[in-house]
Amino acid sequence: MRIGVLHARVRQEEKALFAELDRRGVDVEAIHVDREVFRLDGAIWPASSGGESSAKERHREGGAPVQNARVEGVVVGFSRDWCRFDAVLERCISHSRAMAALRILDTWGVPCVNPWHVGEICGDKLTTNLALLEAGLPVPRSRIAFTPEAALEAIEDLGYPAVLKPAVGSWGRLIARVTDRDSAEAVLEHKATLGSYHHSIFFVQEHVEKGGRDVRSFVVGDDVICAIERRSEHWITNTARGAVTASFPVTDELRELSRRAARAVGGGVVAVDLFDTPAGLIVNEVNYTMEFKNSLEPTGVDIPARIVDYLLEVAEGRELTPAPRRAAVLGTRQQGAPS
Amino acid sequence: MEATTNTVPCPECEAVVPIADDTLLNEIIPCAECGADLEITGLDPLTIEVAPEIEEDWGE
Repeated sequence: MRIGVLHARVRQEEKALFAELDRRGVDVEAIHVDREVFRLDGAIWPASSGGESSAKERHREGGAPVQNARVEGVVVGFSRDWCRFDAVLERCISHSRAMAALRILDTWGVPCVNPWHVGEICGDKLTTNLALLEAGLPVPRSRIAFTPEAALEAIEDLGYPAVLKPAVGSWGRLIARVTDRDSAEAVLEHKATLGSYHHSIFFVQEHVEKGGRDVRSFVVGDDVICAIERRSEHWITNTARGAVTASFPVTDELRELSRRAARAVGGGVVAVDLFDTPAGLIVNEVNYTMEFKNSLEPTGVDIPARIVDYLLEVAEGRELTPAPRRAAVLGTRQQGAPS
Repeated sequence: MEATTNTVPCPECEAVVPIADDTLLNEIIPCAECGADLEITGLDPLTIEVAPEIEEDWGE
């Protein structure tokens, strides 16, 4: 069995994952995403090698890529023999690089944890919110607007305080709690003037009173393996911002909501962020490249071991990562085979 | 306490930075003296650089 680990910085999480893979005697290749070049036109699989099977399956069947040939088929890059990997664990620190790499590997049929479509949903708060709503999950009331004027209207509709957050972002960065019209106007003007283009999509959310803490559950496959609470004097309860963690009981309500949230984004290995309110738990976000170093000690759960368990199941084909869009992707690529 | 047999000078402040024997390529080591995040860029020979600044799309 051969596993690729796509990474950038090797943090405590990646170190623990490498150690666990090593302990299991798995053949692992560490791949630094910043130094990788994906040859999109590296090779073309002849259509005759199998119409509906994935590139990886064809590779396993012994088919050889045809270099620079003008044939109808599926494009497969071979700068690195990605199809030799039984699975790739994505641990990039950069969302945009992770998404580009996963998009390519998904098209080539390489099983990834997590797959591209999970990252696509989790990496954008708008897309996550829509997926959670579609699954009937309780989420904070949210609004999207495209101009400062419309965003101000959305904020006043939700009422003060309200929260402005970038649709793509993490570690609690650039999240603003606006408490009145003056502060709302100021933040909106700053975002419109100083922000890059994606800050002109205003994601506005109701401020949920969460009692100085939020809850994070860790879901691997269909198992909710543990949960923590993150407590802070600051209203942003992110460990990257200094929040302190403690174990949180996995109640029936938490287990059920976490499973449903994980399924809503496509499953895999995810961390679900929730608010514990007097009316019950509310799902806030779902993370697809979870950090867990601050959760090991309070929960006592060997999270890297559980991730590796799942990864090996995917690699062995026992756990199928859902890929609802793969057929469409391959279809597009087949029609657009390069010259 | 992890075994430490190697040291490198911090590229930011020139303090002596101990490198544990089980250190991995691309691991981040904070300099105890100046607080800079340092990235291991080579193991043989041991090389270290100031880690890249956090970018906007970084994080979970």
